[in-house]
Amino acid sequence: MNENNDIILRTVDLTKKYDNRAVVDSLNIEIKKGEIFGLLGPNGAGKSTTMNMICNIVKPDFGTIEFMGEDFRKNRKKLSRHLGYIPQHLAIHGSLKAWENVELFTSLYGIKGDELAKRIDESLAYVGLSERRNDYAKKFSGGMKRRLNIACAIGHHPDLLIFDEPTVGIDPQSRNFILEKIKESNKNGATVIYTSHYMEEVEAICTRIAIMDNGRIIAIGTSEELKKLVVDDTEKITLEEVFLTLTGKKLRDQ
Amino acid sequence: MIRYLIKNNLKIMYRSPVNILLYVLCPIVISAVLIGAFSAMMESYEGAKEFTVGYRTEQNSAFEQSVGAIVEAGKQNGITFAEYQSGEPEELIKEHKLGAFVEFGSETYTIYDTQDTKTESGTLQYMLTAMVNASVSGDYSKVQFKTETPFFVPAVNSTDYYGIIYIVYFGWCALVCAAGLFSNERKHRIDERLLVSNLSVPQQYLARFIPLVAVVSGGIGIASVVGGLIMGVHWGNIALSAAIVLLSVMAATAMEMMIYELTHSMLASIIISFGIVWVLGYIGGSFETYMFSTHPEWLKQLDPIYHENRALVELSTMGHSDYVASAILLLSGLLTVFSLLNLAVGSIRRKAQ
Ligand SMILES: Nc1ncnc2c1ncn2[C@@H]1O[C@H](COP(=O)(O)OP(=O)(O)OP(=O)(O)O)[C@@H](O)[C@H]1O
Ligand SMILES: [Mg+2]
Repeated sequence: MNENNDIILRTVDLTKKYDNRAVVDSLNIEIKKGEIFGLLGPNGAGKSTTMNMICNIVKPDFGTIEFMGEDFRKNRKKLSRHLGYIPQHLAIHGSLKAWENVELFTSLYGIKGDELAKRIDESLAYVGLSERRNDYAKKFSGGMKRRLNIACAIGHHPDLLIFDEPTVGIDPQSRNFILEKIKESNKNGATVIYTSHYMEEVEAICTRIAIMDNGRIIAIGTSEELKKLVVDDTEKITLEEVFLTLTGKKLRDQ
Repeated sequence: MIRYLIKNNLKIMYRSPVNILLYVLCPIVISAVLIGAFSAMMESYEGAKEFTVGYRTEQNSAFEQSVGAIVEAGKQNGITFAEYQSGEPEELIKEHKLGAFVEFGSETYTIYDTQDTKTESGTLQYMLTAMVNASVSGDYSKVQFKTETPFFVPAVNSTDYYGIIYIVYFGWCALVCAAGLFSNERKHRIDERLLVSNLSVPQQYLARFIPLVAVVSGGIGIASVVGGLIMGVHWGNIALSAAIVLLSVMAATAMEMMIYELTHSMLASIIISFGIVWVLGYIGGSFETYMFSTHPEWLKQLDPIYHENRALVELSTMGHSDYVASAILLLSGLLTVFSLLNLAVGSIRRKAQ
């Protein structure tokens, strides 16, 4: 189906409408194997809706999703275990201990027994929570919950990791830690899609960036290429200014 | 591989102190209160067991032809007739421990009893009236003493009755145990993670159903053991009774999970579920005993809680019950239907998400 082996994920005319309004509008994106793909956009641009369609949470009204060369929606059973999704919200159980949360979500991918125990240790170590493995998640600070949220999605060693604003509401140390970990995963072979409002973050870790507005991609490229769209001298402009120039200064989500 | 999902859902449920309170303490406390409140009332019906009636027929009595049929009808309803040609009725009753004595005269019959055998004589009176009515048509085969009438219910004291009935009732309120888990899954959108992993609808159903049934039946299991020891509740056939209660917990869980699947609101589901269970309990003898309730028989027959209560109470008092089969049948039916509906609604929701 896919003639280009470098593409891990491709959407073709992906569309989602709510109340007759296209929240995601004929979206065509291609994610290359091994890249960290940044998806930027104002509130309500349709970033989460796009991620949710890729992840099987929201059903598209139209369009196809190709994942690892196959129609993802028709081959969920086979392909789901290659995908890891870190939601924008904290999808963890407060009354379960850290390791139990990781066990629950990792086991969904058919991992069991000693292998499961190994993956739990590994995932908790990865996010720096080994020491706190026996603490209830409800007792964790915001930053620790964010890290646990990540640990719950990586135990099955996915090839594509989708982070939906993983650094919301946490201190610079935790944020830095998470960004480093994303880069580390990427070095270890995972492809990453990363959505955020924080321009510096995106600029720091992403190899390619798309700017989304009103359900459409309005610009795509490296941060240099995006800056060139606005001015010739890329030293003189920040990604934030590019973003505001392209998407306008009006408030969104109103 | 939903083993770990079941295990962790189980942990979430049994870690909730509300569940322990509801499932272990409440049934014990409520049944203790009701046992106390109703013990006096129910004692007055005690002793209506099987008994022997003495009788004597005068020569040329109008009943001569009917005596055979009366004796036969008595046999079928737990009353043995023994003929005594001579002796004072009152003394015969004392001497032979009879429930009553009846003299069939030429036109009338006379029932003798003592202070201690009022229930038995009442029963006999009831039976003879029915027989005489039947004799008008000459068809004695229609004389049937329904066990629904108070006199023919095997004696049950309030301890056994309410001790059993409240275990059943709490088993029917299963959804409360899942309130924490289900609300959390929605609030933190944990079900989305399950969707991402492509967990199937039946897997997701079982991953909730199995731990919920385990926690509820575990809770009321402890309540029945502890309550049984403290208050002395007799269950009769423990294995069979436990199986019936387990089946009813499964049926209730399936029904209430279906309501939750439809409403997706815990509060609404609990209100609807408890409303249904209250009505079923009201008809089925959870509040006033089913023996003395005035609900029409056909209505009771439609109520699974009635069949279950009656099966369990009769197992306790008699060791067997005609209602065991119907209770098992009805509860299995509900379990099957609601499980399938759960899967159907779940699949439709998936397709429409
Ligand atoms: N279930 C829904 N029903 C109706 N409208 C919805 C639904 N989900 C999302 N929307 C709308 O779709 C639009 C896009 O939402 P989405 O969450 O995808 O945006 P986003 O780019 O992730 O925004 P944010 O940066 O705030 O997370 C918004 O206008 C939102 O109100
Ligand atoms: Mg979003």
